[in-house]
Parts: sequence; structure tokens; C-alpha cells
Amino acid sequence: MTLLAPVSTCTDILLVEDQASDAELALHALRGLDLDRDVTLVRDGAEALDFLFARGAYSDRDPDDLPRFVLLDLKLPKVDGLQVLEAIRADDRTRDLPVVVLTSSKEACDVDRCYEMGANSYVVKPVDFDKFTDAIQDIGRYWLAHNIIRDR
Amino acid sequence: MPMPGPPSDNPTEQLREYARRLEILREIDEAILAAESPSDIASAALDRLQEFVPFIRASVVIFHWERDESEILAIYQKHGDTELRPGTVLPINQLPIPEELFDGEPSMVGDIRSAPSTDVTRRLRRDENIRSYVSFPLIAEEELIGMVNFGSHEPDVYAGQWRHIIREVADQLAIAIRQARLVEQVRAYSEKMEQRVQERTEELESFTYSVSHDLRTPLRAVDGFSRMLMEQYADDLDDEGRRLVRIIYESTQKMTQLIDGLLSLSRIGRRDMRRRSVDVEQLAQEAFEEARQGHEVSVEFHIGDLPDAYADRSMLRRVFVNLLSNALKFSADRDPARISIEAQESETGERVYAIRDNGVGFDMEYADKLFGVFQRLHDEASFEGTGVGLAIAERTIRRHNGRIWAEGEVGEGATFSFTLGERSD
Repeated sequence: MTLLAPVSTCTDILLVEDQASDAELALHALRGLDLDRDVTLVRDGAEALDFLFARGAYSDRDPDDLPRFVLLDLKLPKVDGLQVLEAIRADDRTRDLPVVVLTSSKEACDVDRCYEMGANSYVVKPVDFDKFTDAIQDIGRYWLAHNIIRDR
Repeated sequence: MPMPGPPSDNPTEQLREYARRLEILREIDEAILAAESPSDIASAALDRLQEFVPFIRASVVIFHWERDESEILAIYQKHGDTELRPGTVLPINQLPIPEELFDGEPSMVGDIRSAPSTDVTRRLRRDENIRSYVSFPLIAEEELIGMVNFGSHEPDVYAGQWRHIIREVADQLAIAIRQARLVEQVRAYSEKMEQRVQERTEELESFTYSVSHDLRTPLRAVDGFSRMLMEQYADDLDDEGRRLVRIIYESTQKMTQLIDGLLSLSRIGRRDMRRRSVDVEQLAQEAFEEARQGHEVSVEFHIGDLPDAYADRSMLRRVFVNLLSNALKFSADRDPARISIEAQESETGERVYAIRDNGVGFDMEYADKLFGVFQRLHDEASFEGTGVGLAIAERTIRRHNGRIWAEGEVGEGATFSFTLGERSD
């Protein structure tokens, strides 16, 4: 499993998370999964889009080589989660990319807006460690092992 | 109605004129009553007056002494044009106020041609073609608040009965304008207050949003990393070390509950209320099933005849769950615990729902503290809880325009009662 690779060529999961502690807890949980997975962590929305569209620091990447899914925090520096989601849905290459919103916010308006923008799932980060780990592992298992994406 | 002629010496005619005058005044009063703003009132009065009082120009002006300004409330101009319009505001010295007005007396000029020449008389004569004019004071609570002016192109028009009619209308106008100004002030204040409340609410909402997001992240870290420490390094810690880590863990659980409680409390004020008819008996049963989860007590639960309520169902459900959880918690050591829900009509005809238990009760001295946020009347070791349950119930009831109160006695149980306010929101 490759972590924090600055120029990763391909990845299974793109984790967009600015909080170092949340990122480490999520990585810890994913590490516990008995599945092959490669996680790339980016720390803000701008970097997430650079990665997906192979721009800036990620210009060497093959833009067709998309992650299996994106774990997206909402409150992010520079470009926030909703804007990232909007950009992903606006581009033909990433329109079908599964995006799981993972956030602390239970606010109904955030839930509504995320689904309106085309989020595939909305998960509130549990504070409790066990529940958090379970949630992350359930998400990983579902999107990596069970979900089938459209062949284009 | 025909124009009344000049004042007559004939007694029958005088009587008829008197009756006509009363009729005029009544109509003007009605018009004034129907109007809302000061300028509506002023134009309503001039509107009616023009049918009876001869003038080619009339105006109602009010003074804003605090700003040294006069404001034209209404103006009628039968010939020619004027730059003055309703709403025009002028520096107070630009529209001279005759001295007599300050003494409550009208100021009258029978013929401008024989009056001393001033700026005003010159202007009236030249621009407006006015021969005679009269100004009446508008006096409310002994303060000169404005004036009513009439001008005619004929001399000596405003003596006799016109004078009386105008005076009575002016007095009436003064009262009505003052009232309307007060109403406008109150309205402006209340709009300002509403706006402030709105701003505060938005501020609170964004604060709550930050709390939910920002406090949870470090909390999750404290919880998560202390757990990882236990998972990966438990063997390196002695018993005391493990005890300390456990305290960290337990504290995060408590803090999570506090934050959740605070958030649900703040949501009550923000969510939309949908009031409709609610089957309270069924609701109470559901709430009891939810509340008893996790309480291993033998309990005798009784639901009386509960009439339907007009309320937001899920909010009312939360009230019952919180009050029943409370009742269960504080009667846990009774065998059996007895909890009942009844409804009664109060002396004032209000419907009161009451939840009664036979638990530990409380000292009435602290009754007003029960509904405060994070207020606890019992130590935490004996009774768990975050101290927001009753606060949530209280705010929910308040949003329904109802009241909630508690009665109890130490060792003798407690009764929580509430009403749900008017049908309309």
C-alpha cells in the first residue's frame, strides 16, 4: 500500500482530507481491510482536482486512470468539498466516478446539497473510534468489492 | 353633496349648516380612521375638506424638531404648479412657521395685498395667486407637531364657519398623525428587532455548524488515538497506565454526548414546525417504547384518555421521550416504578398533559433550574445524563407557544406538565 505518494500513477481510493488526525484514523481503518487497496491522500480540494485531472504536481499521471472511488471531506481549504464534487460531475471523464462524502456535518442542508450535486453516498464520521473504523471499512469493502461501475 | 353657501342669518339655515358641518366632520373622522400612515391620514383629510372648504391650495406639514426639518405630508394645488410634493422634506427655516401657531392660535391673513410684505406673502401672491390664507396649528400633547395651511385666490375667505371646521379637523388630524407616527416608530423598532434576531440566529447557526464540525475532529482524534494506544501498546502499560487511558476514552464519550445534546437543542429553534392533529395516545405509547430501551426496570405504565393535540408530531414525540426517559431514570430504584400520562383541563380551560412518576422527586426550591441547559439536580454518579433533555422539552413546548412546569417533592416523585398553546402558530 502506497501512502502519501506525491506522483502516484494509479490508486484505488482517493482520500480528500485536510485534518491529519482524521486522515490517519481513516488510513488505519483501511489498513485493517483484507483487500488490495492503494490509497492516495490529498489535503485540499485543489489538490484533489489536480490529482483527478492530472494537473500541476500530478501532470505525469494518466488522467484516464481514475481511482475506484473518492472519499471526500466537505470542509476543505482552498476548494471545498462541494466545489470538488461539482467539478467532478461537470467533467465527462469523471462524471461516473463514485464519490462518498465523509464529513462531520449532520446538517440537513449539507446532505441535500451533496445529493443534488450528485454524491453517491453521504456518511457522517462517527466520533467513536470503533464506529469510525467500522464505517470506513464498510465503505471500503462496499465500493471496492461489491460495487460495479459503468464500463465506458 | 352641494357646496354649503356662506354663513347664513336664518336660524333654520343655521341649523341645517350645523348638521352639514357635523356630517363633514364625521366623514373626515372616518377617512382619518381608515388611513394608516401619517401621509395617508393627511391626504384623506384634505380630500374630504376640498369638497367643503374653498381653497386653491392646501397643505399639511409636520415638523421633525429633532432634525430641524419639516415634511410635507399632503398638498393640494388647484392651479399652477409647485415643487412641493408629499414626502418633500425641507430645512425647518425654509418654511416659516407663524408665531401664533406656537400659542395654539391660527394665523390668518385676510388679504395679502394689505398685509405687511414678507418673503412669504410675496411668494404666495406672485407664484400661487393667493389673496388670503390661514395656517392652523397641529397640537398633540401640548406640542406643536405641524400645521395645516389653506390659501384662496379671494380675500377674506377663512373667517366664520370654515375656521371652526378647519380647527376641529386640525385637532383631529394632530391626534391621528401622532398616533400613526407612534405606530410607525413601533413598527420600525420591531422590524429592527426582527432583523437583529434574524442576524443573531444566523450567527448562532454558523456557530453551531462550526461546533459540530470543528469540535468533533479533535475529539475523534483523542478517542481514536487513545484506543490505538490501548490496542497497540497495552502490554507496555501497567494497570495505572491503562486506567488513565480508559479515563481519556470515557471522557470523550461524555463530550460527544454533550456536543450532540447541544446540537439537537439548537436544531429546535431552526427547524420548520409542521403542526397538525396528532394522536397523542399512540405517540405516548411509541415514546414509552423508545424511552424504556436500556432501562432494566419493572415499570407500571399507564396512559389515560389523551385527546389529540395540534402539534409538530416528531417534536412532540421528542418531548414525551425526554420526559419519560427522565421519569424512568429517576424512578429506577422503585419496585415497581409507576409512570402515568394523563390529560386534564386547567381552570382556564387549557388542556394540560401531565407525566407523573413515583421516583426520587426533587426539591421545589430548584424547580426553575430543571429546564436549564446542562443543569443537573442530582450528582452524575447516581444518575447519568447530559442535562439537555429537559431543556430540549422546554424549548420545544415554547416553540408551540405552550408552557411546561414541574412539581415534586423529595422522595415523593415528580410531575411534569405542559400545554401546547394556540392552534395557530
